[in-house]
This record gives sequence, structure tokens and C-alpha cells, in this order.
Amino acid sequence: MNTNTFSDAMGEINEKYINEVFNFKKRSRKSYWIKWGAVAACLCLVLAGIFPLFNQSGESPFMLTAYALENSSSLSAVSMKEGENIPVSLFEANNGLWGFVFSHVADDPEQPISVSIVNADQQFTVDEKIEAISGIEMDSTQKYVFFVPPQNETAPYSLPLTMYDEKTDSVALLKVVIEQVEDGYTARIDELVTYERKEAP
Amino acid sequence: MDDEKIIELFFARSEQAISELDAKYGKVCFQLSHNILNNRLDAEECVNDAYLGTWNAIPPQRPNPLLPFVCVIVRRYSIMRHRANTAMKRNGAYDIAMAEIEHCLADPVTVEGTVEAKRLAHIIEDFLDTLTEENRVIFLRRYWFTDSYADIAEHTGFTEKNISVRLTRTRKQLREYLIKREVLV
Repeated sequence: MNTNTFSDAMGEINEKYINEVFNFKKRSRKSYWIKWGAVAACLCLVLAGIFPLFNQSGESPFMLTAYALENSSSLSAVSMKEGENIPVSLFEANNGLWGFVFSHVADDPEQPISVSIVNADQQFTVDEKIEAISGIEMDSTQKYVFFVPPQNETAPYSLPLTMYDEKTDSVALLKVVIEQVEDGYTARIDELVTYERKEAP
Repeated sequence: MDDEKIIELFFARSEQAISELDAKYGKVCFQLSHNILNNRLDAEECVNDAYLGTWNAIPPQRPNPLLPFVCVIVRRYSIMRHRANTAMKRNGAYDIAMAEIEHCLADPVTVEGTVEAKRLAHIIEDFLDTLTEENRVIFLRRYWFTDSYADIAEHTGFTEKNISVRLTRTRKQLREYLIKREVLV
């Protein structure tokens, strides 16, 4: 079939579909802000609770956020706490890959949004790029990690992560464990070790 | 003026019907035609041809609602003009939208043209019925109205990225559906 056949067929579809387009109500901005405002408020509360656990000075640069879809539509973005199970979901990226999404503070928010793909079992080439993830509004203050679980293995999955903070010149090494539960998946930070970065002698 | 009064003017063979139609729906018709043709003069001519087509169709027809009926005619004239204009080279938003969906329709086994447009239209309608309202509107905005991602975002309230992801997914679903319905092998 070629595109002309497709285009001709589209021209023959029932007018009710065209009418539906004209009658479609634009998604309300208000609900958008309410939703994201609520997410931001929750995030603030969670961050406030987590700060002392991550860093005694109260300002941890190593904040890992886990993303999940609740009821298949509303997004939750929750800052993770060591040892605590947080719900996570599989998201589809614009290139068709499915994976779990985490984010942490970007080193330089002026830079374009970065998404690192963690390719657990080398099931695709490293040329894959992600520019959009369905259901997540990405912003440049965050650096995203897209973890594609191994194709022929079942959960639990282990995801090693490294975060670097320029201000304190320190590095955090984390191990995140993703487990399957009755109604989906949860993620947990199993290990979190921070180091001050030192120049090689 | 409401649609019923405009249709009454068509039935009365009053030329005011055309000017009222243009005043009410001229912008939408022009935008649709311009999306396909990417040329102001061609788009204006096609919209005028479509008005004449509407004049010839009403009566006997009494479309309700009027706008989709006129848009179908505008689209048909615009695609005919586009094919005549660009038999040799590609240009404009219409070609970009069609190139996007081309790989989803590609089928080395089926002989081209064996699928009748009307039969395919019914299959596409069945496919559209499987989509959510939002995804259906986005799909039609892209492949019926040839709207850009930015225009679709403006009309629907989603971000351009979200539109892109939804369309990628819907094209994949369409291909699977066409294979399931044995349009593609």
C-alpha cells in the first residue's frame, strides 16, 4: 500500500470523526497546573524529609527521583530514600524502547536535557537516543536515566548508578534494586556511598 | 449565522450562502488547504473550488453538521491539486506527514492498489474506534488535517513531545492492526 491509497482512504472516512476533531475540548491548563503543583508539593515534602538522611548539612546534591504511572495515567515523581520501596513503572520512549525512569539533579541546567540509556543486556545498539518519554515532561534541571531491563530475565533487576556533584566535588555510588510486586514494580536504593573526589597523585 | 440558515440559503440558490460560508468557516478551510499545498494562492483557489463543490452538492444534500462536510471537499480538492503540482518533487507539510507514515504502510508482498480506498477507509474507521478520543483526535489532526506538531499541541493542550510520542505509538498500532486485518502481510 502506498501513501496515496492511505490518504484517499482517510478522505473516505465517516465525517463523524472529523466532527469529533472540531468538538474536541482542549486539555485544561488549570488541571495541568493543579496536577504538577500537587506533584511539586509532594516532592517538596519528601525532599524535606530526606535531606537529613542524605547529608548532615541538610542539602544533599544526591537526590534520586523515581517515576511511576498511577492508575495508568497520572504521573508520580518521588524522591527515593535509602531502603524504602517506591513504586515505579515502565515508560515508552519516542524510539520505542520501554524502561524504568529515574532522574537526579543535572550538573548544568543550561545544557540540553540528557537521557542516559542503561542497556542491561546489550539488546540494542548504543546509537539509540531518547528525546521524549511518554507521560513525563522532562526538564533541563534533571538528568534522566532510562533503564531498559534485560529481555530474558525476570525481576529483581539491579541498577548501578553514579552521581557527581560539582559544588561539593563529590561522587555517590548507588545500587538500585527493582522488584516485581503484585500490582507492578518497586525500586529501592540498596546501597549509597559518597566519596570526596580526589585528584590522582 | 448558524449552519441551518446557511444551508437554507444554498437551497434558495442565494449566492449569499457562499459569502456566509466563507465568513464562518473560511479560515479553517484555508488552513486545511494550506497545510496540504503550502501555497497561499493554490490554497485560496482550492477553497473556492470547494465552495463551488458545496454549491453543487447542496441541494440535494443537507449536511449536518456543515463544517466536516465542507472540509472533506476542501481536502479532496487540495490533494488533487497537490498531486498535480508535485508529481515530480516533494514539498510541504503534507509530504512530511505522509513520509512519516509511509514505513508503517510499507508492504513488499501486497501489490499496490489492491486495497480499495473504501474498504481501507472502513478498516481505518475500525482502527480509530480502538483509540482513545485524545489519540484519535491527534492522529486525525496529523494525517487528515496535516497539522504540524505545534498546531496539534495548540489545539489539544498537550506538549509537542507528548504528541510525537503518542503518534509514534499510534502508527505502530496502525501497522499491527493492518497486519491483523490482512491489509498488510
